[in-house]
Amino acid sequence: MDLKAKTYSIDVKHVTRVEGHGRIIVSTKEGVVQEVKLSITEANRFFENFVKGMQPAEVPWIVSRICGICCVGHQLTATKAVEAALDIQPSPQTILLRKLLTESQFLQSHVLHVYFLAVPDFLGVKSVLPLAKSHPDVVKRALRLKKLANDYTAMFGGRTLHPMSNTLKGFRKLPDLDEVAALRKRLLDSIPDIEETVRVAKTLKIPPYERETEYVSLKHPDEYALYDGDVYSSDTRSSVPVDWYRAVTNEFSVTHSTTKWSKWHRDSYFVGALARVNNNFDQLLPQAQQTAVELGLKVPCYNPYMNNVAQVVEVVHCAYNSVRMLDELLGSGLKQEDISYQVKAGRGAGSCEVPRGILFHEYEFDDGGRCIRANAIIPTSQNINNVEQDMKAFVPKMLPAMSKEELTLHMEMLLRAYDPCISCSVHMLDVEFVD
Amino acid sequence: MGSPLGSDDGIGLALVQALSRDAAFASYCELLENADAATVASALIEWRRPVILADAANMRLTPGECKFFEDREASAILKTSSVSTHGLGLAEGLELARTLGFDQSAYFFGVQPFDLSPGYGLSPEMTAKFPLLLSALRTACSRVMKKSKHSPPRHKGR
Repeated sequence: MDLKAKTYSIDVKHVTRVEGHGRIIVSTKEGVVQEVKLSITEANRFFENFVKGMQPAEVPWIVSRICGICCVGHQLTATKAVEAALDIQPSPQTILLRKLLTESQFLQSHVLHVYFLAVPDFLGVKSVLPLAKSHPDVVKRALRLKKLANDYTAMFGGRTLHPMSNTLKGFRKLPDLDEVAALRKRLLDSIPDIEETVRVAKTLKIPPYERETEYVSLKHPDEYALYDGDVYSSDTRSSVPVDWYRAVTNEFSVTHSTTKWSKWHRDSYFVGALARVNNNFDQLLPQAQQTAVELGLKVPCYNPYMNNVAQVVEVVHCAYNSVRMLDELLGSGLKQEDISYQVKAGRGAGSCEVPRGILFHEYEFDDGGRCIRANAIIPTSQNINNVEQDMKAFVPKMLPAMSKEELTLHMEMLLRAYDPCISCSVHMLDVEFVD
Repeated sequence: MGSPLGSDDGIGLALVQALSRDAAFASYCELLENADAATVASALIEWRRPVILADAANMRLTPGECKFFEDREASAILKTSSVSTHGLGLAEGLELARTLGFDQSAYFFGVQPFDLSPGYGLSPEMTAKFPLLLSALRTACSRVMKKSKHSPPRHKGR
């Protein structure tokens, strides 16, 4: 191929099938890459100011609205941060219920991303609507799994979106144990659908591009860290406490993005499913480890497109681990606990893994229990720098063999593989009557 | 359907909530709050009977007016290109359900909104129109129930 003929600009002004407004700019001259940029044009959200003056218990419910997909994660991370500020210790029962909520959200989000946003790329269709025509069984399975995950969240959170049952120190409403037993059966009955999901993932042709980077996730001594742990780096192979999160994220600004970027031990780092699987593979349940082997995910994996595969591995882990936790819950039973607490001045940070990566919240309260300072650093803002570094590394490699259209598609797929996230919009029907 | 946090975008939810207080309709009512296309499609596939979808709709009518129509009477504008799940709404949810085998009659009870700005609750203008709109929805439901002559569904309304 004549490289000198490759002089063009790619400007994807609105990357689709991602939860956010991102723009990809690539320009080449005579086969040489001149510029690669990932521009984020999201407006500021102001949540950190919204919560100023709020009482401690109000904060987690408000900040869950940061995201309609990661609402559970934002709520639980804020809950942990506020509890740290007020020296509140949740009970083992509360922690178990929160872990169940966490895994319900992982199932919801990963199923949505894999089937609705990522798979259409690999099957050569533009969205889930044509996919329903060409592969109805695939979409029906996705809807069944999504519905199951929605009901799972509603059982422990009180509702599917923006749960209200969880609060500081405990739960305001406990699930009915008969319904918990029924959910356990539904999860077990969904295993064939999950196995089919693995089979679909096996057919996806993952682009072969690799770039080693730093992988950052929570790490816990006793379990695959989703709800709790310290902040682990694959570069240092060591962890730091969550309270040091500012030394991890090191936020900085760039002129072409309204999102702050992050870096830790090198130019950029990766958070999300692939980072978690890379860092904590040994703590995945055996069924999930076996899935990784079947799907060709060998750790450490440096291919960012494999993040979709890592999400499928986590779907398997969360399904089986949920059954295990539900058994524990059914064995121990549930009791309504005292959720009263004393307000006081204090500062605390919290972190959970959410589907898109590690999430940090921090709050400070005055003597009267009013919030006076807040900070939230979401996974997408930590990942954006790494996505652009990937693009800068991959475009020169892809350029000789790909047409402009193929290159554009692969850049969009790369961004989609990271599963970036925005907030919800209202839905409104737009109708034109047929004469 | 709708969001209670988008002013008149919550008109469908408010109407169905009010309707569900009537024993004659309660078991037929289901609220889909902030539902995405996947949730709409899942609900319709499970419903297996004629359905009336009550929601705010841009029908180029005077704000506060309502229109009751069957889906085949209108062409909903589908976003079939590569959009995010946030861009997939009611029309796409219904289309997804139709593609996957939902073969029952689907009616819309659309209400032209006054105000869709962020905020909890209906606009004062819509609140003033609410009794009339509820009465119109009740009439529409009775018509469909009479036409379909189905027994109440086995699952309870939410």
